[in-house]
Amino acid sequence: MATRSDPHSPVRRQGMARAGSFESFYVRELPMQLRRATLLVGDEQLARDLVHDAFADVFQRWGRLRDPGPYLNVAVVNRCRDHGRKSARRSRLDATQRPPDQPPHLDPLWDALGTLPFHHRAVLVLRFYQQLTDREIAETLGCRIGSVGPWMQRGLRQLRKDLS
Amino acid sequence: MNATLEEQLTEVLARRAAAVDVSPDPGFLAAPMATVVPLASRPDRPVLKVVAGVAAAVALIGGLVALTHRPGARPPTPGADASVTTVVQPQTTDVGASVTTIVQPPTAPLAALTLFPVVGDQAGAGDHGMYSMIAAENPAKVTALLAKGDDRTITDGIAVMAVDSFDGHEFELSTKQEITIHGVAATLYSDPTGSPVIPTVVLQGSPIIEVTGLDPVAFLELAGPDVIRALQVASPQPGHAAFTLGFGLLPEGYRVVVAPFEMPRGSIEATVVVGATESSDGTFVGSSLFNGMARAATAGDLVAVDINGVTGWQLQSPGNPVFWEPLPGMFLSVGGTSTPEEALTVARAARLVDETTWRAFYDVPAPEF
Repeated sequence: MATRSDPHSPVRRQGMARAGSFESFYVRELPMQLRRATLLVGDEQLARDLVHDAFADVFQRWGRLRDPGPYLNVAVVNRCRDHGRKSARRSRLDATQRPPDQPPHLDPLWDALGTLPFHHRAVLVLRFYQQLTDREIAETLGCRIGSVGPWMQRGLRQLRKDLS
Repeated sequence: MNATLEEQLTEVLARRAAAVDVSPDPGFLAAPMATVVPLASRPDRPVLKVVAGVAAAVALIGGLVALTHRPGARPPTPGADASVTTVVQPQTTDVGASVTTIVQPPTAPLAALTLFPVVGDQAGAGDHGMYSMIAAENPAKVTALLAKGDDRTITDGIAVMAVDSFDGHEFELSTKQEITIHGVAATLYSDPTGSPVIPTVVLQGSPIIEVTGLDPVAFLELAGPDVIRALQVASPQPGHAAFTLGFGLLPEGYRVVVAPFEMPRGSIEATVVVGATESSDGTFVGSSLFNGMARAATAGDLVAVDINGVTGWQLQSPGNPVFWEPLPGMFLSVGGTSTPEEALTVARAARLVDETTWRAFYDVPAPEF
């Protein structure tokens, strides 16, 4: 799992992409973006489409972006958020995607996570999957840092309620 | 199990993430392209109809430039453009028009990549090499770097590029502002979202000139109206641009740091990934005929570093990639490291070998292009 010191951290990734080609950037960034987007929207195929849309956006700006990594992070997260808005419903995580070795008792948590409002789910993913700080989460979501804590607490509270 | 909710959440997210198929979509990079179709909005998702492939990707990469050819333009400043040999019949026309004819083309680009990087004595489990094909279909493009500094530092980089066709698609999401610089109409592209897009001034003409930097407008306003010139190559080699760049009197402190160069069409780029793991994307070592330093200098200052006796340049911005030229016209770069020191360590550990050795070292399949 990514930790704060990993290259997954958007802070660490800044500026790296310029050293290589767009293809290198794509290959390097794709795994983390796909994983995170899947956790955010709950649908692996949808996540793949959203991530590639974001890469296409970066591609159009390639050479103009001083730091393509952070730009891509925001582009992917925005698409995940906008998808939720357009669908006018809360994304439900696809229980059929349960990994074969997934302990059954954890699945209700996965399902419950999918019922949370986007920002509540996003802060939980960014904190407990990527281990980002409040500041890093705020930068990624484009929100005030003061919103991160309340969203996280509400998300956790709702999960506890759903699982009880 | 008495795991807390937070611990359970961490575990379930990690498990779900690990189950995601993270393989690249071959269609995304391989398609020969021209336009980007939003994928999520299409009813049939599977095939990514991206518009651009690696070739076009690189065509867009350096993007920059601008230039002016005006009545009464001064001849190029002696020594300002070492690549131009003999200037014949300087003409002056309007912005963007080709004006001057030169007898010889600029520095002849290498025809093919001949040096390939390997790191370490043998490839590790997280190491791999890959080909990229670039400049296959992109328009003719000549790039140069103007900047301040000395033999230890490079600052205030302005990348200049001349291209024979303008890809407006590249700028369609940027803010477009019509401006006038020294009486010449130009277009300034910047980003409306506050993201770190590097501003670019575009002057339409033949060729089109783009100027990119932290403040290209200020640079052009400070410089004279004829600071950048498009020069016509009298006898261009097949597949090469019929123009190059020349420079007039540059603003105080500026010099031509990277002389105009051209990316040969159909040339390839080789990239090596070192130390990739499930949670780390590894370090990237690239070998190319494109001098990445020319565009990197627009993102921050560069400082000189020693790469096994060769002077390289390291960007003093997050990521701290390193660029060096081990052989004239052959450029290496290292990026994706945690620290500036790590980038230097990898750069110094990189060995340059021939293509056959490189492919065997990383078990790289033959290119499909």
